[in-house]
Amino acid sequence: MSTMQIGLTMFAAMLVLMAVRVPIAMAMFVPGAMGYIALAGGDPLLAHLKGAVYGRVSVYDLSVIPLFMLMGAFAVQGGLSKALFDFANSLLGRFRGGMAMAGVLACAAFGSISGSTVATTATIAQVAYPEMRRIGFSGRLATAALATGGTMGVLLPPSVTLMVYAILTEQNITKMFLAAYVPALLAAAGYLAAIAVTVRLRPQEAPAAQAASAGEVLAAGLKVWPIMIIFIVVFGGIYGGIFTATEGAAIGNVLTFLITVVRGEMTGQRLLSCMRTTAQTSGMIFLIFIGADMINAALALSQLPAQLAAVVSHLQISPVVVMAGIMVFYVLLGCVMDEMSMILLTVPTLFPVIMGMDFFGLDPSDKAMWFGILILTVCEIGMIFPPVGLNVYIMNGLARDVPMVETYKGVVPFLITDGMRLSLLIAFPPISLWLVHQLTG
Amino acid sequence: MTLGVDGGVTAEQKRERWLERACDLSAVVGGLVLVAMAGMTVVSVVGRAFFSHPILGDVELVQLGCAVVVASFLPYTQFRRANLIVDFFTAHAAPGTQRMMDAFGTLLYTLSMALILWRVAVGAQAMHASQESSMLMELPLWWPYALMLPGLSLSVLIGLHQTAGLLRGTSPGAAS
Amino acid sequence: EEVTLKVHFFLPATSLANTLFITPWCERIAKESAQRLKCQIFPSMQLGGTPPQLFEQARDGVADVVWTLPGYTAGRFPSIEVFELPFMMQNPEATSKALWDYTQKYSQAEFKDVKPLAFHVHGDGVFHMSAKPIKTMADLKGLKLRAPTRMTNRFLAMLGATPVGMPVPQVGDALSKGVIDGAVVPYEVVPSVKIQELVKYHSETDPTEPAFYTSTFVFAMNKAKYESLPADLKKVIDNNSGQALSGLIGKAFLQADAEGKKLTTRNTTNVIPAAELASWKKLGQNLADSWVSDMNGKGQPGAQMLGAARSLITQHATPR
Ligand code: NA
Ligand code: NA
Repeated sequence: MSTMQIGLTMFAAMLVLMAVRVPIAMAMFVPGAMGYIALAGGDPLLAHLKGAVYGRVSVYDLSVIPLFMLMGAFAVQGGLSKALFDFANSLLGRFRGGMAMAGVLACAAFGSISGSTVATTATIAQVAYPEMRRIGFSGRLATAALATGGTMGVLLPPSVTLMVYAILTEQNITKMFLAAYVPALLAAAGYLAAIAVTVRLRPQEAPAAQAASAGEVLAAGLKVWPIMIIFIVVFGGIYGGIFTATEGAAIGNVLTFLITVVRGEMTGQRLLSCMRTTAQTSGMIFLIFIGADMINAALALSQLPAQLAAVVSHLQISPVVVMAGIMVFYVLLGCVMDEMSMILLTVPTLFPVIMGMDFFGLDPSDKAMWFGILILTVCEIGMIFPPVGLNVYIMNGLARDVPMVETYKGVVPFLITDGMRLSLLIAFPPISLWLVHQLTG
Repeated sequence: MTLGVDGGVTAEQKRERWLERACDLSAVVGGLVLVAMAGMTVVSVVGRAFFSHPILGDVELVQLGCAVVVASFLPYTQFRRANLIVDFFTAHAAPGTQRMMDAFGTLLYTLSMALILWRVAVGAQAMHASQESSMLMELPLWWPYALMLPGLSLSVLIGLHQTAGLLRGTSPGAAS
Repeated sequence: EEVTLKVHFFLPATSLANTLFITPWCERIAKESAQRLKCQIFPSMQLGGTPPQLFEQARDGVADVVWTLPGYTAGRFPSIEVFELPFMMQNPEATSKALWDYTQKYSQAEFKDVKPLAFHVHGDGVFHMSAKPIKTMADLKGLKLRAPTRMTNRFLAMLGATPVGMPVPQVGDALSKGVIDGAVVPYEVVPSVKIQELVKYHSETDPTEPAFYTSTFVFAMNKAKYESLPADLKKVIDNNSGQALSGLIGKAFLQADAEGKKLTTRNTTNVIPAAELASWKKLGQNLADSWVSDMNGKGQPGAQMLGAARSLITQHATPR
């Protein structure tokens, strides 16, 4: 078998294993390990695993996942997240689906600074999902909205993924950010529209609109000040550059814990329960990371992206077909990779192919920025595209009461707006480039 | 759960209870390490913000700690059968068929975790031999490797126990 | 027969390190072996693991050739750290040659598990600052600076700054958000982090003085892979390794510094004069003394090694 065939076989084996209920992490790990043996040999695999697993679980940036999980558990146990949701609901409950929209926007805001869609979804979902269910959202809409919202941070500045793309392709970071604003707003508009349409067509997905009186808003507001202070400190500190996301999470943990203790909400039993929840969800997420890491290493070894790029550049096919092919490829990669891995693995090989082609007569810098926006957009889509999308698994895993099928049904309206947005971005490069040209000349 | 012939507790049930306590303990230990990491980070941030004196090496402590935390969490996740599966294609399959598939999946989990356990143990040995240490605090790196081993070992045991149970038709550690 | 070498490193494919040194090296060995020796280049840690694990990967054959910093794996290569002391490096080409010679004498045991192809250093470390330039030691007081090596971390703390430990990929993010006030790296790193867009000031130390700091690198091959090569291919590797290659890489880094510096023309650059640096060097000597006593504690002739490093650097030095 050629290395390319081995790469494709691994992909196929992964899908088959997933289909027969093998845990997702192992459906990636086992074909990845087999592929590694086929490509490099057994001894190199053993040597690789000696350090790889430790390497994957000792990452500073990923430590925000268990930290935010624990903070969320404290907030839930201490009644803080309930208070926050009651307050938000007193403001937004007058619109049907309003809280789902708020959830999407919260994901977007958090995602743009956290640098990981998986971490974003897990964090927001931990707090928001049970509350959305409590006030009457269906599992379908709640999981879909949060899983989709979690992907928005990839595009929304100051996204770390966007910064990495700019560095890999030698683009100006500021211009790249400018190029991303309008597409990110389009994404938000699309998702809010998807929620509005969903709750109109299927009213059973969301609680009925219920206007709260001024007195009720005030009463809810008075209960919410502790969590508001925590939010201002944690997110203000991360945005304001006083500390990193991990540090923010650590501070959030300590503050949340102290407040629940002061309010007399924290018992020994509850503390244990917080640790169990954190263990269960963090263990689930990191096992997927370990599995994905194995198959990613084997895919890199197979040089599948580079070979596909070579095939594409030798075929005399129209640029639009190439672009469409690349978009499909990314949606597939979204099964096993997070956005950062996708960008790091593929951009160095695909970027030259794109730069060698003509699209609407765009100059190189415009073409690079436009392609970056498209690539990041399909990365987002790949993370939630059925039958497998990393973000959908994670979200669904956090919602133990919702079957995967329900979440998939729920993301369909969001994917429709994604498809429309992607088509617009491909057909009209000025959507991405207009703001850049306006503000930088 | 089924009762043994004498009306008492079967060996499998005893094993299950023992494993549950072990996984619970492992999760709590991981949680305490996580709390310690958070506390240390806060001390470092406060030191940096107000006294220009952070904990030199706070980042590497978080990295080392994260490895130990995750390994300690893994067995609890599997005990609760909380590792994600795609039920999309098999939602309508007969329960017996689903159970056999789950036995196969759990077996793959067990074998993979056993492989990982073995390799991390070898990694710990290699780190010990090379005396590699963290950059700023010079903590020996074989420590976090070695501290991952209890959690990984327990994961293998859970996997074995659950595979055997699924094959036999009992349903250990059903989702909470 | 054809032999393919898996070359693994942590910087992206577009980095100057790859375009100026790794890819040209691969092209040279391909050409000199009539295309029988080829590289598969895996940038950005694509084969998995973390940058500190690269050395182990070369040792174990996960990759055939790696490029990494011995300083990432503290405690494993103490002898080589002498080159990372402040105010040691004269010029990257000469210092890289000196480093090669030094390792042949003092670091054989530490690197016995791999086949070292080259040892080298990068160019002068420069302060890249967001809000204000560094002109005197007093300017460093209380500033949060990201430093790359253990020695530089300690030295910055001695100078009154607050060193902040963080992985390289986070530097851009941290600079843009103000988590750190500046970063101490050579100009060569500027494009790969886009430092020029994130800071306003670049403070260099007097070019007639030795560099504020440098980092050491090793370019190493898996031993078994090397041994498995037929004699004529071994010779191709031999011809493209050693002191000559080390010097060549040092020179490439000097060139990379020039490329990186070009990007910073819109910002303000200043030079910290030699007179000011005198007091810095005094503090630097304390660090050198502590390295010597560390080495003595390990049963090695610390003072002799420090002396050897200094005289080799001078010996290879060419006028700057
Ligand atoms: Na997908
Ligand atoms: Na579920």
